Amino acid sequence: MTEIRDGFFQHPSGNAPNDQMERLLNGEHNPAFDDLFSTTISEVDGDIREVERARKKLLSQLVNLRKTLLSLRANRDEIKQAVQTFEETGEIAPVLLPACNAMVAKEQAALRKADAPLKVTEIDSAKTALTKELPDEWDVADATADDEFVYVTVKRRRTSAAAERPSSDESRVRIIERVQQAFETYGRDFLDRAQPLPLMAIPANPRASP
Amino acid sequence: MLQTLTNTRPYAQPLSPIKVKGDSYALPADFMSGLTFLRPLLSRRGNWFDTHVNLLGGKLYAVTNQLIVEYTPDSVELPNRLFSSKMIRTLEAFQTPPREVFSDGIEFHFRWDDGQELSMRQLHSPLPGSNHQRVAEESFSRFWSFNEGTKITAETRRYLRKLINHKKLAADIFINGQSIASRMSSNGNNWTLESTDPFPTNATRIMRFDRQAFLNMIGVADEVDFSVSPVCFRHAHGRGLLIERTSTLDNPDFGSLDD
Repeated sequence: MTEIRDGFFQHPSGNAPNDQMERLLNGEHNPAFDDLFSTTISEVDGDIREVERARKKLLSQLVNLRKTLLSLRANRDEIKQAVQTFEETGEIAPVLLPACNAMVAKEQAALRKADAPLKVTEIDSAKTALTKELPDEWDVADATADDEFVYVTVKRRRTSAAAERPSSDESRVRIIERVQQAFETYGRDFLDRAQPLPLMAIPANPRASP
Repeated sequence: MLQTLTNTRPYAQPLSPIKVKGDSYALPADFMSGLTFLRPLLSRRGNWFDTHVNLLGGKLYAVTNQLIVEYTPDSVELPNRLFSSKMIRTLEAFQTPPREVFSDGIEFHFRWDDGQELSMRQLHSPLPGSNHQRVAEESFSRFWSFNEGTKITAETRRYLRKLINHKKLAADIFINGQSIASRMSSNGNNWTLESTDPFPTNATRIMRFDRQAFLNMIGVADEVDFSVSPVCFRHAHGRGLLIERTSTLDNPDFGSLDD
């Protein structure tokens, strides 16, 4: 099979690995444009790209952490200096004022706690009130509340349950089996390939928009 | 008492003359017919090389992904250029072919015998390079092999157009040497209509073509050799190539020719 087919320059139905795979499964593969293992390779490439992206993100986080650490250390030196100034002159510099995180948190917690029993009664009353009002098949599943509102989740069984679906693992096994068969059936077609006209080698128009 | 109105403030500026850029090239009479001949074969969307008629090495080409057609006009001195279908349609509107063109590649300034002039620029079309010319010439040196053709008459053209020039038909059609088969799916799942009609050719097996590209070829070809792939054809002014689609497992049934 050395003839050129489908297009002189490119495949009319797309060159994405997925298009190539669909052509292969239909037995309409064209070795001049398609690669038998393009899906495999593009999957690996995708994984590599993803990990590289994650690595870059973590590296930039690391850089930020280092910067914060340095500025905090500088801050600490400044505070030390201010303490010394205080010991010498009695002057209290603004950097010496703490943020008082622990005390703020404590006060907030106390305020929230004061509201807690009220919240519980609100939720309970909402639950009982709704349970009475609901039609038969409906059920109160869950209830929460914030400062302003009470939220109640109600649920009911679907009258017609969804059809049973194969799990994604089952789908995968079936699809891989088809692909494997296609590889075995058509693999030899890819050993002796025709080349399309090398128009792709022409540099793109520099004035065209990308 | 009526006043005489005198126009004391003429706003209109005189039109500044359009400068003619580039060298002058005489155009043979059949240059325009070549552009008109090839224009319907261009792709509507796509790369710049398949949406323009290409003038490469003195020959006109329509170079699309599925169909390559050349047109050999009388001698043309104009170097390699691209002509957009918009420009060709504008030129066609003059109804007589232009006598000469001044061109530096971006600007085209056409002149007619009766003194009419047209100045157009194609900002978004690059100049085709020598590589481009090589591709067009190579396509024929590599794939051209014409042994024996099936004649396509005006009647065959009309017949085939009637058969397969419908938007709702599938994108591909099939021939097997005796017949042509097309099909349609009205529900998107299976073929709801398959039709087979006689179309004797020298095809030696079932061949599958893009329907639109096949129609484009039928529109211009006089003689087609279906025994080779890509299919080679001749028309009055040159040659052409039509690419075949990869065969599918889902072939139409050519068996019944009952109607």
